[in-house]
Amino acid sequence: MWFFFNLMAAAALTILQIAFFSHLPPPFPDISIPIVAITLAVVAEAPLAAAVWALTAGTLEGLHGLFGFGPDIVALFLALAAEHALSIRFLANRSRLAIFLLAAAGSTVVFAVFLIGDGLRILSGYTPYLIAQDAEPFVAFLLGAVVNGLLAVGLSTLASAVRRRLRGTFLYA
Amino acid sequence: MTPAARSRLIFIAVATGVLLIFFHALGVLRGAEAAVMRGLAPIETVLSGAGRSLKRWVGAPFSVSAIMQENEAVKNERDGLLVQIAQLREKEDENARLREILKFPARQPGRIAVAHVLASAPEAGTHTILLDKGSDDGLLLDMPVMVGDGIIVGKIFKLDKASSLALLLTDTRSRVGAMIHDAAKTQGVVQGKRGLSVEMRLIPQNEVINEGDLVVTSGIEPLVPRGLVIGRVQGIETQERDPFKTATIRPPTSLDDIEVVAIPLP
Repeated sequence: MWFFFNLMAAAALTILQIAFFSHLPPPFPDISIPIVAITLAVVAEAPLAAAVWALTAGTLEGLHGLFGFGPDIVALFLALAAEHALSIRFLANRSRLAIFLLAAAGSTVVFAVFLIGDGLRILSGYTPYLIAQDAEPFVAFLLGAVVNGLLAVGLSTLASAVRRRLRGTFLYA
Repeated sequence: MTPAARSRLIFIAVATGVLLIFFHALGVLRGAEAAVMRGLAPIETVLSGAGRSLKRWVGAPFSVSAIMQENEAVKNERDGLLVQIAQLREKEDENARLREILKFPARQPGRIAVAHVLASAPEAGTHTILLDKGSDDGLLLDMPVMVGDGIIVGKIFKLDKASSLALLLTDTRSRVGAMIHDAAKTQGVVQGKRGLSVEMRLIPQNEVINEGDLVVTSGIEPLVPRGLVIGRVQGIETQERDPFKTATIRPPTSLDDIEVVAIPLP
């Protein structure tokens, strides 16, 4: 039951990001809901939920995006692995700064995978998607990392506040 | 859930991802992928419409003075166009009479594919729109994507069975063969500039161009017909030692707010 709820939430929110957020003014198009969700799952020590998000969101983004099917799935699973490694080996706590760094690291890994893919396209004689004559994709990546980090921190803080508020009323809050 | 069971499920998720990529590479999933895209298209059309409406609604109070200025400019342009229409009707009649005398066959209107915009720029830093039509609908790579009766906004950049991505004119990677619609038919290349504007480059220094000149496609590319409107010259940039000059082009329509596009089929 929980698994399917997670799957449906991942699918619905990824579609919302692709079809709805992409039309809104900045910084909404820079938000990556899957990265934020993976970060929150890593913080909550729920790697299975993060893996479901990586698979579902990666598949849907792959069907819609420039890079085609595959790179998005690989990028999100690598982001999950990087965030998990960072959280258990380098970060001492689950502070706001730690959550921000996790989300920013996830965004960086995704961008790095796409850049490597672009490099391979250049080496194979194809037109690159991200590497252009200006720094716009790099600026967009930096903005995305900051926005995703702030959103992850905001949602995590909100979730903690709601949990604290409900703890007095419900047994399993 | 026990740690072992959780590890097993994570392994299954990773393995599913690997298998999906493998089967996609083999082409086994093409039908399923097209079915998913077709199934999602109505939902995405609704969400896209809602996103665009929200953007317009939020932005409306900030753009009142710009809209008023634009309204004034449009009124002036309309007055000029009324005169041009009258002159063109006259020429059309003359053209029809001459065709009849020369027994010249009349031009047949081409077929058009109409596509909805499902999403805008899925990857940050790129300027693309996702369309709900693909190769199954007769689309080919590098076909022009138009709005209205013939205003080019981009070209098909990536093609799948049931969907495609169009690269907008404002994207830095975008290139379109263009000419200035004047007596000299000055040729150049129109390319995007950081997603913000459009420039016409490689205009020889000795060519005379003026602000307000109409820029259209030159027809040099096999799938892009001649005469699709790109925009009007807004500014001209000349450097002393450069053999070419650059013109900034103002597209007649906002490229951020496209809902429906047309693609001329061969």
